[in-house]
Amino acid sequence: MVLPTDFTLFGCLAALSPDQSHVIRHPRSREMEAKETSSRYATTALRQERDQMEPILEDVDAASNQWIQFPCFSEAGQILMEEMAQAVENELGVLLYASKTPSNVTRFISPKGNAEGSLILRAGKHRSKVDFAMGSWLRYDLPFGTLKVATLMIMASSESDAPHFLFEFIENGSSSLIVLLDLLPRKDVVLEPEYLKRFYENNELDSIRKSIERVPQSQSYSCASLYVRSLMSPTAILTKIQDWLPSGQRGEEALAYAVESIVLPTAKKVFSIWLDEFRNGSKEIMDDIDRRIMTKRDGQIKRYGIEVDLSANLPKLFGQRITDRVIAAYRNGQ
Amino acid sequence: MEACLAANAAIPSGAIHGRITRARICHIERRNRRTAVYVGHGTEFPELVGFSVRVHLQIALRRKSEFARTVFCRAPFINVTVGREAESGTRFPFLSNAGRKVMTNVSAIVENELCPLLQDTKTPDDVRYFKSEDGNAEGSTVIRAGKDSFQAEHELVKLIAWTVVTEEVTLVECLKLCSLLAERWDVSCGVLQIDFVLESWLHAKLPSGTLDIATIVVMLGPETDSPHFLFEFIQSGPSLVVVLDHVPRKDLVLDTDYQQRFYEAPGLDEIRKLFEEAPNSKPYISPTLFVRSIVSPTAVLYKLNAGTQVDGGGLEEQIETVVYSGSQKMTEAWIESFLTRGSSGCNLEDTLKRDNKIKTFGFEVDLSANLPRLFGKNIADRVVEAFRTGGRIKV
Repeated sequence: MVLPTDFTLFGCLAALSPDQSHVIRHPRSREMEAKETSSRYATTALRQERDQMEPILEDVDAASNQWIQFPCFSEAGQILMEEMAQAVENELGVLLYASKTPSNVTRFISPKGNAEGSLILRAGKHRSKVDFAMGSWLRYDLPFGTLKVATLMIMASSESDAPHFLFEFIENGSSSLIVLLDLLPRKDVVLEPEYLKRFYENNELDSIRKSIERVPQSQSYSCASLYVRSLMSPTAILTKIQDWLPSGQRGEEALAYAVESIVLPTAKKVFSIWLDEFRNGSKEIMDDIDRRIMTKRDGQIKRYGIEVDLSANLPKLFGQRITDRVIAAYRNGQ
Repeated sequence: MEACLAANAAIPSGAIHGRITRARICHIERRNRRTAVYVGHGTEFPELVGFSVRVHLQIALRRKSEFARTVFCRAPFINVTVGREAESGTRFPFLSNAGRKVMTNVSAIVENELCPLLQDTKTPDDVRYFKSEDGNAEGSTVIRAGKDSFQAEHELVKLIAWTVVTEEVTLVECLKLCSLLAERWDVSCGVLQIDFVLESWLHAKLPSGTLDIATIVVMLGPETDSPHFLFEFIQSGPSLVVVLDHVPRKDLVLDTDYQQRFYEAPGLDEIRKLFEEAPNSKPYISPTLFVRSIVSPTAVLYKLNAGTQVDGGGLEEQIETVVYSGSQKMTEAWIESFLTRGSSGCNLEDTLKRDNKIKTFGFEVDLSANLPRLFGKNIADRVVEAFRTGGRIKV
């Protein structure tokens, strides 16, 4: 089974309801965590145990727990994603509720055990400029190695016209990485070049993109999905990094070095530019029609991710039941 | 194989032998009870290489009320009119043979399909050809506006695509042609769709080497939502930048049907991949953010290099193979979209607004980017003025 290596999870969003107060979260005990990480193959017994656990109200202790973890990745990859997730928490935590995503969506595994995933959503607080923050990852075993896809996305709400933030990190076995890092425009920039000026021209986004382009082991990368391509801004970073260094080093160490010294600083820089724009550069849309168009556009972004990516790819890995559950978690907040 | 003719080459006289390889009705004129049908332009007249050839079929037809049942056709009179290739002189004079072949091929395809919808050019002579003061740079910009409704009123019939490979157009074929006409005679005038067709080239001798830029742009009017056509061929020294695209008229994020109709269904990404997978090809990223934003997700934006071969021999080969076939495919796909996939917009004002942005911040900026430094302000202003006033639709 050949799966597209540009499998993107960020698009797995349909209508997201910020009101998830009726959903309660199963706490995950330490034993369960240990069992899950030690065995890639969740047994039937374990699953039944999990499903039958008594639901209790969520204990809000977000400060000490990371809101999302990335256990399947390489060491450098895990540090990268968890640091970025921590940055989201640090900067936007006050605007977000704790996650209320059900535990069988925050962690799911295929019947054969060859694929595993996680999806965690955090709704933005009422009338905040954030619609939601999303973290997710997917790992699946292919004949040539394991593919791991991690996504961090912050979807801005209709309270402002700030771009969305998208970061996707893919470990292609141990031979290459793919990085997608972008501020997704909320408007048709052809019709409104002012939007382009405000968010993309008066800052370092394009010079950051150029500097990644100049990295010798990087090559340009094209999404298979035309829709995803059309969402990207003109300063999007979309690159594949090979497992070698100019010094001659190869393999996993070369990749780890690239992650630490190129990907992480770049992701942080772009995130901080986004934060600045989100806090200071964005405006509220006063015109009703414009606002409606922007909301519709955002809806298209959420919906066509699912149609293109999730519905096409998850069933092959996890079967229809898990797929439906994950998609439902978005649509109903359940 | 196409030789470039000197401006005063004589048209061969006497009997000219050849054959019509494609018969396509491209223009119909009614004079009294006779109808002239302009058919063409797939022709093979070996003696006329380098000339433009138009074949006219003159057929006498009955009045339209009787068309449904009978077609009367006298022996067709086939008249071959030979003209010189483009009044403005040899096209793309400074490109290499391979480059010229590519550009004239695309130009011919566009011209063949659109000629009945276009007015003659009104571009002033000093924009159709200009030269810098120090003589190091030369250029040409020719713009043909689309016909407006008054001019095209009763002349135009919706274009019919009909391909025929024959030894000669026999009476039988002629009858077929007539019956096709009969079916469509009542069709209302073709929707006036073209804003303008622009063809331009620039040649400059710079300290770093020569720079050649050849451009073909077709911008459409708001009556249709078919994409615009953009083709740029930029050769500087051993590298070539190719920009080839169907420029979208709508926000693709909002309108997924548009993307499906014009980009997924016609399989444009396959054409883009031809360039992506060519040896020594790298993606080309326009320095202007706006130009990056106007192109489609399947745009061909690639830089081809000569590779390690001396004297750029490798590049010529690339041009002859990859660029020639890729540009031909993309152009033919654009014609197909223009003829068959467009729909008349219900939102003329919005489309017009968006097109004006593309015209001024996209094409105009692109066209005039190099002019001031190569030709000076006067010429640059002249060319921009011609561009602004040259189309059917005024900004």
